[in-house]
Amino acid sequence: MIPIVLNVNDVNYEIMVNPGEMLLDTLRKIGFTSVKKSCDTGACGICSVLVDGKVIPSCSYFTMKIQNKKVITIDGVEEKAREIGQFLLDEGVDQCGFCTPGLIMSIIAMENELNEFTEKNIKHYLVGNICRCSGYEGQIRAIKNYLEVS
Amino acid sequence: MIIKDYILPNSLSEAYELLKNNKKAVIIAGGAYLRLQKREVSLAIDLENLGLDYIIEENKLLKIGAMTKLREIETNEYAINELNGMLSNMVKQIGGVQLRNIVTIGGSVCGKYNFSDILPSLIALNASLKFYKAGIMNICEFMENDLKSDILLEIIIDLNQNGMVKYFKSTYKEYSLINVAIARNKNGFNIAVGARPGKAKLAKLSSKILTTEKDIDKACEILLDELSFKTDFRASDKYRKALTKTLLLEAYKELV
Repeated sequence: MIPIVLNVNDVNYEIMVNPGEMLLDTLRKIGFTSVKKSCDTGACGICSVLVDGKVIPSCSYFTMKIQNKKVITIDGVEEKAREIGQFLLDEGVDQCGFCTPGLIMSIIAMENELNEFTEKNIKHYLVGNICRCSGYEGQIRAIKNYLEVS
Repeated sequence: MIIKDYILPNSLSEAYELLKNNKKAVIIAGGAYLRLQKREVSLAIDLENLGLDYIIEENKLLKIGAMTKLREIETNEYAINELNGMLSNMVKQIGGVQLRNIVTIGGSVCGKYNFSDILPSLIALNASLKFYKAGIMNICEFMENDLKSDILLEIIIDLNQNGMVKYFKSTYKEYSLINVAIARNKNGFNIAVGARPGKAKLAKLSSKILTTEKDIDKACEILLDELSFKTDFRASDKYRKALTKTLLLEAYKELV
């Protein structure tokens, strides 16, 4: 086990981690169970968190890389998450809800990064977030409503 | 992957010494693909803190640090505006944005992955690779040789040429069923094809005979003969050959 300092949502956690531990497992271990585990191969986007403002699948990120970086989970953006979540609810696409935290983190990263929100841009940015319940049309409608684009 | 120890060196010399003195050590770049492999590693040497994350242009040479993330390449102004956007296009359907924020170009090159969307373009563009010990090496030489105990620092691409990449995927971010890259420099054309599903290769004979549009059918015929195409669970060899022909023609037309 190796001692590290992990900064999550502006709080420092002094913890011991296994050398090969992935950030997703570390986050869940210290109580951030809002970060869900699904494909565990970096394909589905469900475990997405922000590291220094960039959205990453935490299942594919070695915890040892994280020193001196800042992690934001959905718990750290509660107000924004509620706002986006309401748009998803309004379109009825929250469904089982398992992928929603990851999708919301990606939407926040997209909003910060892109200058122009065309349907093509949105789809290209969010193709890494998979929802097993539905066909994405509703999500796209909700996201467009949230971003106030037609 | 089981990792016994994990070190993030603060200098290249430290990283190299660790690598040289530990036979079972592995270099971690992004680590997203490496972690899926079933193996035990005595020491992981992570290059995160070595400042190898950069894209700079000098005298029409684009220098990309080995630890540069694919998303940074995708959105870089030189990658978008030079070479018909070939460098941006080659990475933009590799996983989602999230994964491309982790995956590095150095890791993708050193893995020599069969499914790589990056290697065909770098081969067609005749990229140079800069290593800590071996110095500068051409990418084709690297592809054909086993390089042990060395660290890739930089990928160098000559911008005094033109390029185009075409690939075909069954879904948007799936591995390519075939990847065709073509570049034109002052000496002529370079065509490379990857995901056949073998490792990306330069089609030497086909590249040589291609000079004008009337040669394209002949060049294609030679290409299908000189490179091997195989059937796997993603596609048959026949399908891959048919795709290659179409994509090469498309790429050529858009290039010239």
